[in-house]
This record gives sequence, C-alpha cells and structure tokens, in this order.
Amino acid sequence: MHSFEDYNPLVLLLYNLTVAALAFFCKSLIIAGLFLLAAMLHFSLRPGKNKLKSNIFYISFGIILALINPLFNHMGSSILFFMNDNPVTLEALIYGIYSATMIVAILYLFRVFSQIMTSDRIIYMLGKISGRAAVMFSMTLRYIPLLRSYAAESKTAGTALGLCSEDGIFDKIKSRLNIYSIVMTRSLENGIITADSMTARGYGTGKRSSFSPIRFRISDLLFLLLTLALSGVIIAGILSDAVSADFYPEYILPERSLMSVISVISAAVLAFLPLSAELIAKAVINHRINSRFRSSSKDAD
Amino acid sequence: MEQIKVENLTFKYPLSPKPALTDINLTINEGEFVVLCGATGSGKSTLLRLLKQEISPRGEMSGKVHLLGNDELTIRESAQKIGFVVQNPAEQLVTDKVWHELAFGLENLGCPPKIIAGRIAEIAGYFGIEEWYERPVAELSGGQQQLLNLAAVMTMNPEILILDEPSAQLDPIAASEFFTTLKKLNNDFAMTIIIAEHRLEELIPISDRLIIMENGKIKANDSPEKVISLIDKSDNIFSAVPAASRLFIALNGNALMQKCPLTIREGRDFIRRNYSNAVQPAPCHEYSHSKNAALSFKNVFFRYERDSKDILKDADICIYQNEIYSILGGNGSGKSTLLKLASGILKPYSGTIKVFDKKIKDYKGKSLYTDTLSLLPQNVQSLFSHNSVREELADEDSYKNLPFDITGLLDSHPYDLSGGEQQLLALAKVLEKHPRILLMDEPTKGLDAEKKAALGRILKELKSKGSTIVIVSHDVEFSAVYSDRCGLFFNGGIITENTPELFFSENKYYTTAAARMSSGYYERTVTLDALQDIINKNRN
Repeated sequence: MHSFEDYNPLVLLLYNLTVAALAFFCKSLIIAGLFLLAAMLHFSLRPGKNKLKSNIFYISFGIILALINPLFNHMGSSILFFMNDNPVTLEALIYGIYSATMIVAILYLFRVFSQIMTSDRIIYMLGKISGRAAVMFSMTLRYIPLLRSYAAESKTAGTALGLCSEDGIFDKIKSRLNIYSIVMTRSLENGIITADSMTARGYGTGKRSSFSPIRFRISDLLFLLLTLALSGVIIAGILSDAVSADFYPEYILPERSLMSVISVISAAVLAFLPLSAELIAKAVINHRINSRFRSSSKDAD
Repeated sequence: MEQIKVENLTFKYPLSPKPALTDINLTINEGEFVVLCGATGSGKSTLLRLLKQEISPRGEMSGKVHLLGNDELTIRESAQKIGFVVQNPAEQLVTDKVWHELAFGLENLGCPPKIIAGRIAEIAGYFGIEEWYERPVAELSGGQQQLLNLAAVMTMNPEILILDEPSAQLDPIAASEFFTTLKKLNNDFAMTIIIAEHRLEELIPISDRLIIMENGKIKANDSPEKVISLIDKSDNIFSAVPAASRLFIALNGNALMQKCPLTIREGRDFIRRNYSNAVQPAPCHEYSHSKNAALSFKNVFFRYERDSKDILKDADICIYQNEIYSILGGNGSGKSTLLKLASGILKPYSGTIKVFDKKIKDYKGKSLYTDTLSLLPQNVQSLFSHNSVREELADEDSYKNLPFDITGLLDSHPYDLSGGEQQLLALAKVLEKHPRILLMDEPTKGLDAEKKAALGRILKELKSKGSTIVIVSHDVEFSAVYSDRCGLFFNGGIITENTPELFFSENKYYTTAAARMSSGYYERTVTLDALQDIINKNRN
C-alpha cells in the first residue's frame, strides 16, 4: 500500500498516456468531465503552494478554449445568434466545452506527472531505454550545482580584486563575461578529472547495466492490470458506439444501455484511481500506525 | 603474494627532455599499506598512473609492470580490480545522487541490478553513509565527497587501492577520518593500499612501508622507521616527516642508538628519556605592535538569511597594522565568512567594520580594492581565465617586483602549473593591486611542506615591506611558525587570541605537535625549532 507517486514510473506514464488517449477519443462530455474533475482534485489535494493561482489559470484557459470553437466553427443546426453575419451554434459550443474539458484534464494530469517525476524516476525510465542516456542526464544534473558553485567562487574572488563591479552597465557586462570565462575554463580543465574518474571505473568498457532504487512490485502490476482492464472496457464502449456522442449536425447522446453505464462507471473508477490510491494509502497507513501505537501504549500500561 | 611487480620501468613524456621515471624496481605484496612520498614533480603521480592502464599517460615507456600476477590486464579487469582515487573530491563525482555514484562502477561492468542493490547496501553500511543515500552529491562537504569517492570505488570490489594525494583538499579532521577508513579497509580485508601524500604525520604510523621518490627515482624503500632514520636534515623530504621524527633527526638521534620516534607519544617519550628539563625557555617578550588598527570589527552580527542562525555574534576583532594574524577554528565555524565580511563582499546586519579606521561602506566603488585590501580565495583556480601566466597578469612587468620568482612560469598555462605554482600566480595577481591588507583563505591547502615554508618566507617578506596579513587556516603548524598573533574563532567570534607561544601552549587539544610533545616538560615551546633549541640548552 503506497501513495500514487510511489508507483513505478513506467506504470504512471502508461496510466497518464491511456487516460489522455481515452479523453481524446471518447467524444463523451461525461467521461472527459470525470477525468477533469478527478485530475483537478488530485492536483489540488497534493502538497505544495499556489494551488489556487494555478486552478484559476487552468479554468480561465478552459473557458477561453470552450468559447473559441463556436466563434470559428459554424457547423451545427441550432443557431443561437449571429455574430458578424456568422451563425454561432449550440453544437459548436458543446463541442468547444468538450474539447476544453479534455485539454484541461490532460494538462492537469501531466502537471501532476511532472511534479512526481523526480530525477531518480526519470533516470529509471531513461535507463530502460539507454544506460548512456541515463548517465548523461545524471551528469547534467551533477554539473549544474558544480558550475553554480564555481561561478559563486569566481564572483567572490573577482569582487575582492576589484575585477567585478556592478556600477554601470558596461562594468556589469564585463564582469559577467569574466566570470563566465573563468567558469568555462575551470569546468573544461577539470572535466578531464571527471573523464578519468569515469574511465578508471570502467565506463565504456562494454555493455553497461542500469541500476535504480526503483523496483517493479506486485502493487505496480495490480495498478497496471486495473488500468488496462478499465480502459479495455471503455474502449469496448467506444467501439460499440455506446459512449461517443454525435456533435454535428445535431448533438445526440448515445442511447442509454448497459454498455454505456458500465463504460461511464469504469471511466469514473479509472479517473479517481490516483486520488483514491493516495487517500486510501494515507488512511490505511495512519490507521495502522495509530492502532500499533495505541496497542503498544496499552501494553505499557 | 606479489600483487604489483615493476621491473626497470623508465618513462618519458613526449615533450620533456628528461625521463619522468628512471629505472624503477618495485614489488608490493597483498595487504601492504604503502606510502609514497616525494616533492611535487618527483614522479609519484606518473608512477601511480602507470599502474592503472586506462588512465596511464602517453609517452615512451620501457620495462615491465606485472599486476596481480598477469603480464597484462584487460581494461575491464583493470577497472574492476584496481581502484583509483585522486585529490579533487567534487570533480571525481560523475552522477547527481549518492546512490547513483555508488552504483556507477558496477553499472559500467554490466552487473545485474539485483547484485548492485546488494553490494551498494553493504558498502553504504560499512562506510556509514546510509543517511546520505538519496541525497544529491552537491550537498555533501568535501570530506564526505571524498569518502563517497572511496566508497564508490570499493563497490567494485578492487584488489588494489591506489590513491593520489586524496587528502590534499581536505581539512585535518576530514583527512584524519579518511586515513582511518583506509586503515580499516587494510585491516579488515587485507586490501593492498598505495597512497601518495604530503601529509605524513598521521600516515606513517599506520603504514607498513615508506617509499621516497626524488627526480623520478626511488630513493628509499623500506619500513618507515628505517627509511626515516636514513633521512638527513638537508634532504628535501625532511620537512615532510612527522614532527617527532624530525626532532629526532635534527638532534642527530641516530647517535643515541635509539629507535626513531614516529608519533607524538613516542616523541614525548624520547625527549623525557634523553634530555633534562632543568633549563626552561626564557619568558617571552611583551608583544609589541603598532598602535593603529588595520582591520577592526565592532559588535558585528551577521547571518545569511532572515531565519538562519547568526554566523558572527557580537564579534569584536582588532588586527593591528603590520602584523600577521592567523584565525584558526573548526570547519564551518564561519572563518571564511569573516574574511568575506572583512573584504566587503558580505555585509553585517549590525555592527561596524573598519579598514584603516574608515568604515567599509565609506569606501566608494573599487577604492577598497585598489591599494588597500585584497583577498586570496581558497580555491585559486577561481581567478584564472587566460591561456598563459603572462596574460593573467594585468601588468606585463609586475612579476619583476614580486617577493618571489615566477619568471620560469610565464609561458605556461595556469592549469598546467602545480598546486604550489598556481598559488604563487594567484598571489602575484593579488599583489598587483598593492594591498596594504592581504586576506588569505586557507593558503597552505594542498601544498607540500617545502612549498609551505616558501609561502611562509614570502609572508615574512611582505610584512617587512609593511603589509598586514590575515590568514584563515586549519594549519596550526604553519600558524605557529609564521604568525605574530593567533585567534581562535568559535561560536560567532574570536574567543581567545595571543602570540603563538602563549596561544598554543595554553591550548591542550588545538595545538601543534611540538607543543603536544613538550607540554608539562618545557614551558611555552610550540615550534620544533624552539623545542630543538631548548633541548640543546639542556644538553650542556
């Protein structure tokens, strides 16, 4: 039992791609809406600052998207009014709302995904494709703080020699360039040490493997199977015309059938999978911790 | 079992007129702890690198190197079986996280992830670095980074460990911890260790063999006691051996037919056994100094961030004109911060700092840094941006007025210079600004004993020309010999300060080797010269 972000990154990637594809192809306002609601709640309940600001941005972005479609797309039979001699139709508005819902849902999903993808998880995924790519990525991340510390040292050293001064734009540019050149020289010269250190530890002597502290566990398999099963049901629903609505020339919902109900329920479960994984994991772990320590305090009595 | 056998090895770099190594013969057995020493340029690094073929220098080579009983190892075998650690802790690290650095070597060998997981868990446990396991390497201190470099090599399960001045960039406490770990590896796994070092004080007592190199040749190769007893006072290696041994050699201890002392304990014993303490050193003279302050701190408070703790707390410091003042203190105590405040790079949130009785903030523009004050940074490479020493100097002819000679280096690239030469170049750059106050951050870091003595002479020379010098250092031996006053920085301020004789003789733990050997026997004897002096007086 663990929270959503602790699932294997490949499983998470597959989940996100699946949900994004389903949202794109389902042509169903309900399903896209469920995806949006779940992703928005999940994003909002994650720890972090400035949630409200992001939500306001995403929602206003969605509203603009929804309104743009009827302005440029004039298909559909239910004309609401004319603007510049062009008809604005109900169908185009509904389609606009659907596509905005879908796009914003996908944005939320990948926002959360990018928060979850720490360097370790990215290295894990890159390692699956190419060990070299994983090392390159890791080395880049290593070099950023190193170069930053070089720059800070050079700035201090230069300032105390009166080489770096911040009076006037010319001086500023000159001293920045000087620091840049010192940092570049130093990193290129010292790069030899790093290269030796790699060679001395066998880099490039043959096939390399890729290690990561991240594993593939039973729970990852379960999550994967659940994702696949639920999306299988939804795909079957889409293919049997039980899910998708017709937008033009008239907005027609699919007929309610067992298949359509099952598809919507599956979509709801799939959409709320991350959030429930998070909440259930938290609740279960808290409960276990509480009961463990309550009982031990009783033992102590 | 013989692990390394070098036969008649001669090596010459392509552009060099004379060979870097001449006719080296050497055998090292399994489980030996071998210390290699010699002045900079004596061929230590070249020899060590020729034992690790992937990173061997190119050049003309004759003779044979047998490793682990083979005539030749494949590159992969060499990478796995011979571990190599050099002096730059940060630059040796390849990856961004501690776990990845530990796994890196095994990944290169194509080890299955399951085995890697087990191996790095073992190593992290052995080295006691589990707590860092998921941290970025950039957050570790230099000492921790160097320990990680060692651990990362050890995951590959090497049979020989080669180290090229691993402690040069470390403070004394981190260095001592590093050596302890090496000895533990040697004891626990019979790991063969070959280490080149300048810092012999702590290494010699734990080593099995001492090899001295000079001009590309092996000058001595035997147990430390035997090698040291053959050293003469005029040998350039003399200044590198442990203080107790230096005293022994200087007093011509061989004539007493006694074993050469290697540690402080043996040194104390040697003095008490052989010499009386009837004559005590004359009471020291009243310290006389200029009445005018060069640099003063009054009630200075400083912190880096709003909510962080105070690094300087109500600090009062007064450094007089024309004195050499050493600020000593533990790691991360804020000594370097103090120098940055003194040079106006950082600003206190309360209190005043004056340079020549004028507040720092009243120095407008660059006026503080021209003809007034300069800071020599700890890492002098952060000053170099040109392709030759000549270009580094703003004024072509300024090298002619230096208290030292860099004429021979003018056409070299700054990065091709040795650590000591880089230090001189940086000093030349700093002196071009004609500072009346020179601030120096760890100026002896990475220098061998001979270069330290040369630096000390330069400081004396600058002082005689009227400069005030403030040194921040871990190097108690250097401070004891060359400073006029020493101050101990602790908990945000200078806690005690005094002349070296009184400062180090009152300290029991934070003090010099000579003071530790003489305490309770001779009063106020803190340098080896003074100790030798008083012993000689007691001889007659």
